[in-house]
Amino acid sequence: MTNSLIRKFALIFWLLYIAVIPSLFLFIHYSVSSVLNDSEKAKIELLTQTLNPVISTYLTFDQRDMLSDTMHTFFQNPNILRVSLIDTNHHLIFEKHSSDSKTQETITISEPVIDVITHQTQGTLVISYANTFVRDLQYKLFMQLTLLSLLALLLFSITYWYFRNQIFILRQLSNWMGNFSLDKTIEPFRSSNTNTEIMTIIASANKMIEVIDDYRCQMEQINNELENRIESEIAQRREKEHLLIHQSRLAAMGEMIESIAHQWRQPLNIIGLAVADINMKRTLGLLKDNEIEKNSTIINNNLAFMSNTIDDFRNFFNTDKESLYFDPIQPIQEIFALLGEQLHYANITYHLHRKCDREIFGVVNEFKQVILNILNNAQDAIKTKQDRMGGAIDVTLHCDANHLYIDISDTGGGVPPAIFERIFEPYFTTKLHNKGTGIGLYMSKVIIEQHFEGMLSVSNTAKGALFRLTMALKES
Amino acid sequence: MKKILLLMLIPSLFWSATYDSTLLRIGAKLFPKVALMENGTKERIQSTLQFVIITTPSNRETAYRLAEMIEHQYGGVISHYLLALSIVSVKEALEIKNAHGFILLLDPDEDSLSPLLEHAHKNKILTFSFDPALLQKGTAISLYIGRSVKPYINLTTLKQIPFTFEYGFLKLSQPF
Repeated sequence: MTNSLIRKFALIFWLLYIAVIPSLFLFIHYSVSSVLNDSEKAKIELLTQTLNPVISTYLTFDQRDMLSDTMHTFFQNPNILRVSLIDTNHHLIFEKHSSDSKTQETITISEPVIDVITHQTQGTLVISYANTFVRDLQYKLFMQLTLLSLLALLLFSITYWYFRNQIFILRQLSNWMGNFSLDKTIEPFRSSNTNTEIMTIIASANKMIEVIDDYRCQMEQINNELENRIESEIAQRREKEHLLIHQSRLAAMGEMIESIAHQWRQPLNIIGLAVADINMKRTLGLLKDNEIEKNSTIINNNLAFMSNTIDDFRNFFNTDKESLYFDPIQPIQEIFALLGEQLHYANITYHLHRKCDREIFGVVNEFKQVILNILNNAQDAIKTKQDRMGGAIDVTLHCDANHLYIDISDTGGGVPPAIFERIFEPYFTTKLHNKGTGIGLYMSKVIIEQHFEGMLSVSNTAKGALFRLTMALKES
Repeated sequence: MKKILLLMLIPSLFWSATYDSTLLRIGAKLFPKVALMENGTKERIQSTLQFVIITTPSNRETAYRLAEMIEHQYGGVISHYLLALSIVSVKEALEIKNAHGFILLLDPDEDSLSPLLEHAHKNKILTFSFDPALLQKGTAISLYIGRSVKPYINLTTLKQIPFTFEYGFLKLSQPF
């Protein structure tokens, strides 16, 4: 079974042709013949019925001559070949037949002649007629039908050929549209066909392809613009992040310097006292070698302490970005070592609870920066509270199968509910007099989420805030 | 010589007022049928076709023979109608109005013929005779029997009444 429309059309025509033409031939052969025979029979019967009263009257009056004239009337019908009239005693009253009556096949009908007055049978009229005219008519009809069917065939062939050419152009157009690609510009479809319908379809197709091509160009342009904008945005964002990191580090550095100042105050005081003791004893003449040695030892020890403090500071701010597995307790202890003096001065105690000894993977200094930010915030919150009893900071490490949790809680009173949603936003701070930059917690969240595949969250306890660092554990 | 004499005698016998059996038998057969061929008469018949034989005393015997022949031919019934026959004189006939046919067994020079025919025409009664001479007086139909039987019709009378017949009958009739 073909899928071509024009072939289907041809197939349907052929099926109709095959179905109709033989049916018409059969119809003519049987039905029309039957109708014509019946019609001829009816005509002869009508003629017989018309002449019957006249014949009856002539029989009544025994008018043979007039009867003969009347009987000749039947032969006005050329198909009637033989007429005879027989009386009730089977005597032939009248008989006549045409010359070719014996050569043709005939049909014979018999009609009784009834007296119109007495209704008695006066005789029998026998009429024979030929049906060759039916065959002649059939032959003529067959010939006409054959000619008509051949003419229909010819017309169909011409029509088929014409529409096949038209549809071929449409198929070419279809192939042309099928070959259209968004990657390249295509030449308009051209055809020499002048039919309005075909021209309209071609014009519409060309217009459609032209519109699609225009859209393609516009989309390419928009894509290029978008790519440029995205690259620009990414660059700006990267620059912004660098700036933020830099600001964050500067802020941390400022706080570290304050810590160093706290750390150095005691050793500087001791060194000063040692130098004053040496000077006073030298003035009094009491300076002995052992005194010099004792004070030198004190000075050296304190200088060593100050030097260590500087080393810690340098370690904290070195730009080493190497990711590695490390035990989180050590950087936390180092931060507490840096902040120890400051916390002691503020009467803040701290406790470190270790319930998990798993290592985490990441950049140590970034982890320290996060811890330092949270501890500084806790220290500031406790200081702001101005409690004579001071405060406390508890750091607890615990873990499950996949995560390490570091809970840092303080007694600073907690985060006000109104700002819960905003404390991790950049440049958001509650510290007065330019003491805060608003980027510490934001950067802490970014570092934990992006570099430790974790999460930084905050909640309030009975005494203060609880910051939880959730970090993914990886197999080393 | 005898044959020639006979041949000369036979027509003269037919044209005379003498009624032989053949003539009467043909008349007995045809007159009722002709009456039914006339359209007006056929319409006027209710259930019985009334035929009246009008005769003079001299022809009364012939009238009875004719009545017998009609009765024998049709048995009192013709084409679903009863056939009633009566034999009357001219005087009695003048009183009859509902008859459908008068068969005249009268002489052409009968004095009462004219009022009788006038009465018949007035009542649309077909008049029959065996004597063509009576046609001259106004009788509607008469019979001529030669090689074949031929009815004679008085066209003047048929048009005057009028009487209308089927085509076949008119075609075979001889107009007077």
